Amino acid sequence: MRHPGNQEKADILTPPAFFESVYQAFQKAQVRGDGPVDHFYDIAGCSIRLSFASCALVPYITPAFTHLTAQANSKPDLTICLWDSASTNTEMPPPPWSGADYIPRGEIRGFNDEGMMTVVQQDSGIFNMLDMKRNMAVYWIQDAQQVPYYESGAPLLRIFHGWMAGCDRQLVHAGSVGLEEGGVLLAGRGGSGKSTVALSCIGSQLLYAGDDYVLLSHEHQPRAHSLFNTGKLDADNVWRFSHLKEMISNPDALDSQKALLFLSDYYPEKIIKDLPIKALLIPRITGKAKTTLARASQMEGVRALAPSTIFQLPNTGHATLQRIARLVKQVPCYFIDLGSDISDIPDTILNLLADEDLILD
Amino acid sequence: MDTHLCFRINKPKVIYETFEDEQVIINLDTGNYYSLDRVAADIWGLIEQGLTVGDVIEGMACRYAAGSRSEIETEVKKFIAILQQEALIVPAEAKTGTPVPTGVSPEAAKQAFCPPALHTYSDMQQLLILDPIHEVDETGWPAKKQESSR
Repeated sequence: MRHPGNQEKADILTPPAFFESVYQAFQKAQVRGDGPVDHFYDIAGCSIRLSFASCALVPYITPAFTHLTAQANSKPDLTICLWDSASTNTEMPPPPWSGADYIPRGEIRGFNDEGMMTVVQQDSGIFNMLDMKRNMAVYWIQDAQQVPYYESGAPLLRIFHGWMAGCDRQLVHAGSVGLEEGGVLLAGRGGSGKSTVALSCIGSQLLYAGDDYVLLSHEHQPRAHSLFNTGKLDADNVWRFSHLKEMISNPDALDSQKALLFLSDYYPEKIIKDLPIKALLIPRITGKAKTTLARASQMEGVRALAPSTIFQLPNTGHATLQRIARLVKQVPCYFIDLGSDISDIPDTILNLLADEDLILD
Repeated sequence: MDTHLCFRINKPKVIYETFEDEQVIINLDTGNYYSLDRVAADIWGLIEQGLTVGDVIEGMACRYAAGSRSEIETEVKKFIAILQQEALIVPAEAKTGTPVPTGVSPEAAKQAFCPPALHTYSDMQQLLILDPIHEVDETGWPAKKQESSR
């Protein structure tokens, strides 16, 4: 049902006009919230400013990006304006759409096109709107204290996905570990073992770029760019990672939440900002003792990476599939059949990366 | 199935890419994705060219050797019906001027025909939030749902 009075507003409020009205609300919130509180980051070679209207959202959003902190930049490539109504006592303008306009993946019908992305996260009510022409985005939630723990593990995902696609950087549902000279992308649906592989490498020679989401670029060779320094583990998998136990940020909530770790707080030297991708690994949990590799086809590679990326993120389509296809056609794909002893996972990956035959097709 | 029928790929709801000899197809509306083997990918390629069902059968008969032509006809029609049922293709106007496959390959050069295989994967459907927002608060924004473990 359309909200009273919204029909008239819908006639006036085009996506750019609604963006402007939300931005004006942010500016009011900023005055009331003693903002702006600006934080700067270097993400996939782009200068990003997070401009908070008040301090309330800062601890929920910034820890995942600590490893990408950058100097203040008066001309950032992208500015994201973040605010909540509760701490700033500033109401969000009512939406100029009806309940029927919320479509799968949280997109708002009529408010998404080449220049504009509008997404409401249906579980938390977080509102994301990106104006590609102005290189500006807004991110709003009613009350900062309602930010779900998993949002703190991967904040601003949809905005980065939308904006980075315009810079030919593809957000993918994949982890990545490796060395400065080369690493692997870890692809697979949730629960396939991406985090197990990525987090088992902490404490080894391998460096960590992410366990669930990374950005892919393809200028001269495929590269993975770290976005979040976080890792997530199922509560019943934590016992395997005794060396990481002290890092769990939510130890008292593991009955209902995954364990969330902010790795750069403890292992800042183990986080890598970006690395060339030499192979795509598809984890499989086997129950066997040893971890082994088996060659996979391009089809198996794309099936591991493309659907879970495309169906999780808004406004994905053929361009997303093409970027993923380009990677899969260029690097070899392997299954990594995970043994029960996770300690041999890093060596399995290091041996693969040391293989001189591992050259790009 | 009438051999004069013509279909087109259901773009932009359906996206696809070729890998080696196979094809991956994703239906953005349903959350299903598919892989096609070589024979199925060849049929897909002929449909993509805007050929009628009859011309698709002709094209396959030029490339593949089967026990009989009717075997190819039966399997191609059955496969096209499945593609339509999965909303991967939709009826279209026949394109005028689309070159009809000609030049039958020598029997020895033809590949053995086997029924086209469409493998369907539906494990991503849960990622599409099919139940739209019904609950909104007094401001019109979605009411917060119970936090889940993700």
